[in-house]
Amino acid sequence: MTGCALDTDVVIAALDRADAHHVAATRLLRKLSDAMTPLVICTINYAEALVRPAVDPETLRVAVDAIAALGISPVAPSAAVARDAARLRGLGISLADGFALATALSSSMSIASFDSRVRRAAGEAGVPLADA
Amino acid sequence: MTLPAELLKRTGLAAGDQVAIEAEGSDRIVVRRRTDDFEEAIGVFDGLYEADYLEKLRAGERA
Repeated sequence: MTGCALDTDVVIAALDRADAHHVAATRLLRKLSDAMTPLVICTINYAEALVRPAVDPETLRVAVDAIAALGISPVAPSAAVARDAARLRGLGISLADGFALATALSSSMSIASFDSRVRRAAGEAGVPLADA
Repeated sequence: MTLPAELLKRTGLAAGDQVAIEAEGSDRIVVRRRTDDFEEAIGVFDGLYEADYLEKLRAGERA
């Protein structure tokens, strides 16, 4: 694997210590970080994670800085990734989740998600799951 | 670009510190300290996101 694409829910869980998946997200990101695994997030999913913080400019800055400090790099989807995202949506996931999965697929990366629908779709698409 | 030493001293910024440089409006540039500390970044918020945040966000996009 060349890296790991993070679904929106993993990033939110990492940022918010009140999130139900916070402990699991922390364990996962620490493990990937220790293994020097490149972490990426599709800009569609990045935007989803930033909608709530964006209500306040300072909170948005904190979120942007925290995501960067966690070593997560936003990547813009290509047209090919967009086509894959549209196709993968047919596996019963949201379009945003499709972008996360297509991002992983495009670069032979694993995917990290707490969403059972995404995890199932990843299996169908042949994308390995990253687990803590 | 050179930053005044007095301002650096007042803010505690030193060589090697990680900073973010952003444009604010059309005539102002802000330089601010940025953490690269994983431990500070993890769990930086406490209850900012609602439990069903993503579901509501995506439902809203469809509306």
